[in-house]
Amino acid sequence: MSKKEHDVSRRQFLNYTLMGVGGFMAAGIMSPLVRFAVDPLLKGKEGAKMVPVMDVKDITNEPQNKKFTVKKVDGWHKFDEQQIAYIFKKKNGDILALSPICTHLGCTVAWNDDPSHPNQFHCPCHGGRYTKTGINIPGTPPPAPLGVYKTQVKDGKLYLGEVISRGGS
Amino acid sequence: MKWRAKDIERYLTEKSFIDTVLLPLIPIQWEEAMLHTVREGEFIQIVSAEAERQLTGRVILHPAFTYLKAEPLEEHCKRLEKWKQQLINNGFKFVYFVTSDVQWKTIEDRIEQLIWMPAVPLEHMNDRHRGDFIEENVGSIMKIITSQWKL
Repeated sequence: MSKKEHDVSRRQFLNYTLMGVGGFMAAGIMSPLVRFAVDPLLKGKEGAKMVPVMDVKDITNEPQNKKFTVKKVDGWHKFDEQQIAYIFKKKNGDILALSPICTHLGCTVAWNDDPSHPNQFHCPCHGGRYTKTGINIPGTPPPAPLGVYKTQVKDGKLYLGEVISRGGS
Repeated sequence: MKWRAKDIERYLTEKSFIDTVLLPLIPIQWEEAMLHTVREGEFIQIVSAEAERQLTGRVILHPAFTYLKAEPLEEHCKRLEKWKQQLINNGFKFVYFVTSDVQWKTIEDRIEQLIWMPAVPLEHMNDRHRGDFIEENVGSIMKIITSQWKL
């Protein structure tokens, strides 16, 4: 009796085998395609990594110049870029980490180095000035406030991430 | 600003703000003292690149002026003078030559705005020392340049 139940016709057998092999081949082609298509989603966002910069307990009310390195990729060229942050506590106790890149043409500003304008950030190139919290002073060239680093406190250490622009005109 | 299209585009639109050129003088020599010559070039390139980074909004880092050490200094001078003239004609007010090659120091009074600094074997220094050392040298270049700007 089983003979009849298990009977597979020649046509059916060929259908099954062709479908099997064809399906296998299709899967072989599709899987890398799908993998490539979703790959950008799987990749972590570039530059989103936070870097430990200093101990929170060492942060004062006076901006401190801290250097740290981040890994950068420029086309095919991978390199460590040194970055600077001016870190201090605001009056309300919040930590502020300013990027010293002048919003005018990109020179590096310095804190309190111009005797005629104390307690300001000063750009050596075209005399741009910013207040302690990085707000550009009207009448000087910069069009916008200094950028601010994304900050995070973990285990008593301050981590800095990417620079967030504070826009401007 | 560096000698690359992206930066030069910026320069072309903001010309009035950019009046300074940093021009490294880099010797080439394959015979005796080759390693030393390489060091001179390497050091000056690192230092001038860093100075450019800090003063990027007003300074253009010019492609290096390279020359054979064996050739007479007179010839380099003539060629360099042409380079400088071109820059002056294009509206640059400050042209700084930076070099580690001691040859130039002998004619320092003829070349205005020569910044000479001795090269050191950076490859034997550890990272921290190297960083500090470069920073010091960059600092002195910046001081020279910014003090001229203030005049």
